[in-house]
Amino acid sequence: MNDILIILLPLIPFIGGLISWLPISHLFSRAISMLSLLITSLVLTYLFLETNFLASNAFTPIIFKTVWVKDFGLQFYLSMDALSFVLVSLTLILGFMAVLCSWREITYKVGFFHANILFAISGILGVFLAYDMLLFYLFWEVMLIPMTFLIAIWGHEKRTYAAIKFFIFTQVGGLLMLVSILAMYFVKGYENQSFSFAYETFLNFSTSFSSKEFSIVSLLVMFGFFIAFAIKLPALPFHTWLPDAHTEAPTAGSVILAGLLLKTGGYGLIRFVVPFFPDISSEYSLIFMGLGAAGIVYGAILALAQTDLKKLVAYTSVSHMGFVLIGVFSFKIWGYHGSVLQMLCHGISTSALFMIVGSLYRRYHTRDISRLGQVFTITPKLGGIGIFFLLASFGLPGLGNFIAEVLSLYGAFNANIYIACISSLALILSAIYSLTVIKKVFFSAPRIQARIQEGQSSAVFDLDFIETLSFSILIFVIAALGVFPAPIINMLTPMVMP
Amino acid sequence: MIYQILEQMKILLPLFILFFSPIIILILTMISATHRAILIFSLCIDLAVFGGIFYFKNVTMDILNTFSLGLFKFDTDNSAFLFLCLVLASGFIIKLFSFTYIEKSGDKSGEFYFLLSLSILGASLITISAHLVSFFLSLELLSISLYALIAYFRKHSHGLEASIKYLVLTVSSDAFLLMGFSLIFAASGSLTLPISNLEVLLLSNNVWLLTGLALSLVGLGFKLGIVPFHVWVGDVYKGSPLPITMLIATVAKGGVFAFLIKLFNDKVFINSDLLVTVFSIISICSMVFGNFLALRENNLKRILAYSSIANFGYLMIPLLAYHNAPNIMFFYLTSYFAANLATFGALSVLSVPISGGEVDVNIEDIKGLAWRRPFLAIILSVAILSLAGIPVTIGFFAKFFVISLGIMNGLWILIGALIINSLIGIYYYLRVLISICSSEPREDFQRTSYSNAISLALLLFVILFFGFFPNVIL
Repeated sequence: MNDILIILLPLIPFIGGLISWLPISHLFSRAISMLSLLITSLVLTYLFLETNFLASNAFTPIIFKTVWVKDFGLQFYLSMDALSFVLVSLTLILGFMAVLCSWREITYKVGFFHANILFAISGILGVFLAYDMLLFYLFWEVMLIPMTFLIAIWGHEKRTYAAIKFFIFTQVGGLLMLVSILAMYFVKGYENQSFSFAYETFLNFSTSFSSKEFSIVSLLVMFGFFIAFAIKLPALPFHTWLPDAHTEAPTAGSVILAGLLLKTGGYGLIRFVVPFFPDISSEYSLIFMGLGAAGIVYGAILALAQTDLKKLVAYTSVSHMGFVLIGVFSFKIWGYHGSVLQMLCHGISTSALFMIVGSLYRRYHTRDISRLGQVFTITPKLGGIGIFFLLASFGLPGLGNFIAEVLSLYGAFNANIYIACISSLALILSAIYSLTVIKKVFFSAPRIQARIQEGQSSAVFDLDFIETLSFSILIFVIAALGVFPAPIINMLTPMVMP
Repeated sequence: MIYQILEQMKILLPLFILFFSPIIILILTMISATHRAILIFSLCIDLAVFGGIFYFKNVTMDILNTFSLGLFKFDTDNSAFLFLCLVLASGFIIKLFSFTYIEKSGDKSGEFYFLLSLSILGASLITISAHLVSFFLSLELLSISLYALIAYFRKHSHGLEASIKYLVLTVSSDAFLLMGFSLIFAASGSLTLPISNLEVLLLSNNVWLLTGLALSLVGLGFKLGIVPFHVWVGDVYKGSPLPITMLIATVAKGGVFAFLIKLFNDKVFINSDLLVTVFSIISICSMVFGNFLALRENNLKRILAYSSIANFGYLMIPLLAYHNAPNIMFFYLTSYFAANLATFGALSVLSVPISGGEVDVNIEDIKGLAWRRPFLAIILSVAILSLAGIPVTIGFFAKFFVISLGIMNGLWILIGALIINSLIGIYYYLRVLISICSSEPREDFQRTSYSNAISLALLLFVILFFGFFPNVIL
């Protein structure tokens, strides 16, 4: 029973997407999206109860495995363990948010828009659940195309450029990953005399042989995977697609992009790079942590210089995802927990920030910081929530990001003191940019006063029901994660590499 | 003996139907049968032949040996049979597309179907030829019909120019082909394929055989449009009417490729490093040239022309594999055929041949197609995604199998070139996709007629179905 249900997890949003594509009415498409996400959440809740986590404190994985193409050892293999479960729940929460925040914003081709959102969610769910390498690659590609359409059709001014750049960057990574997957498949196939793409065949891949040529091959294969996930994460040299894609995407697109797509990179690192290549990753861990630390500081410094609010939030994403990198490659338990929690909390808080920017854009039709001002005075609810999430994103204690960053830093500190010290600079820098934004946007008057158009009232409305609803859910989640992260940490502990 | 001849004649029946159908079409034209009647007749012929050829498998036809001094031999082993099915199926679909095209252009239809049947006959015979002379005769049949077909619509501005280009280049490459065949005959002493003492000759680097193979490669390479024989592709694709572009892209190239597999089979590549090097260089250059030339193009026909150069570059990789896998080449060719037929088919709906000539479809001309004609846009997008190698389409598995084959045989440089060139290819495919979805749609897109809709739906089904279940074909 469980295995059929786990197939439903990526399937229901896909079918919902097909149904919401029908041009019946705007409300119909939006309602169908909400409905399909709701049904998927119910399925997920049922599966969670089936895993006996609440009863026995041990998360038994749920598995679905059938043969797909026998001659090539291809299987349709899905598996949900604790890490996948956490990320799948994040996907569904942010899927709701994406639909909610586009309720009033998108009025052009609403059916196709919601279809794209649901297809993207379905692809992302598949990425988090797939345990067969080629199936993983297939879902990786599937989540890419609807995202490109979302940016290219409903985005802002430079949307075509941003969409093409996003597509090409991710596709390059994807193809490198395909070559690595195929190389591993053939090497293991010749060794075992039976070819298979399943996850278990490749565990401890790099330690299974000891010849000199092989270590070069496995190094190259690891870099193939690493580059693909580093492009998605994004790690420092490969991050240039992110500011453009995030800025030009519509709000729902940014929510899915920042909240979910970046996490697939982190998930890939935890799920594939470290278990397949334990010795090579620990050998190169210093370099990767260095990349992470550099990304943290670089993203934060660049965020200081931005005048476009959305681009600033995009650079904070670059900065925060560096914590994931240093947490994973610190190879300490707390670092691992920190990186997973950072993925969760960053997803929630950055998506909330993008939604705030979206709400501001709806009211003021600008993202320029020098034109925005006194938001808290004019619209206290919007201002208050905006301040809350900006404080959350720079790591105010009591909210989730604090725990995540502290744990990652703790893990990094135990691995290498210098990396931890450099990364801690981020705490100062992120405080600087967040507080500057709070002051400029929410409290002081705008530097450049907006001229009032003919026939347009200057009254700005505060949050309406849907926005309040979505923000309340996010506030609740991030506050809960800040105060009570223990269940998640307990769920993840059995999975950590010793 | 009479009984044996009759037996083999019975097996030859589908071929006979194919032989006589052009003549019957000509008779129908003479008695002024309607366009629809001619179309339905030729479709029925196609279906009849398709059904009949299943009796055809694993038969070697030497019967004509006694009558014609050993100049013909047809051999339908498994792989040749598969290619024959592919050619006939594409012929069927091309006829469906040309119906609407000819209706709109207002030209006479009978001769068109006559020439089309002749060219498909020629291509079918190419796929099953096992003798150099029978190949050459079938090739001539195909080419001559193509000269007339490319220039068929007199009102088109570039048809005559494209046809003359094709004529001159075909004739000159045929000269090379004949010389090559003569040298192969001189070296091996027989004209039938497979060449019997191939390994011995190659291992001893027999000059005659190597020169013969190289010269025949010139002739065959021209037909396939690989580098350095690719110069005609852009202009001929652009100048010919759309159904004929479909014919050249799929049937003409695919048929000749089926013969190429027979001539340059795996024994050739095992025994001769020189030929492996030559083919690798041709393959890499085709991939690179094809993709780079397409980057700057705005005309959809030219983009597809250059991408077909690249596709045949990719297709050279399984050819070079030591464990030659005709199944994989057939799978790749199926995906190439389906995607090309679907794209050109969608284009033939969009570019109406008006009285002044054919309207060329550029990237700007399909802006916003997704909003006005969603069905057409979906098919065009899925076909382009298949050409780009995105998963869930047949093109992904085709590329995946080629990459697997390359890795299994250690063709690292070629696989690297394939991957890099696929990346470059994605750029121009993406431009087309984004233009389809752009938000300022034009208002004057044509409607799809029933015959076009059936064939497009069939192709969409093929592309997506085999993207999920590739094991059906393998």
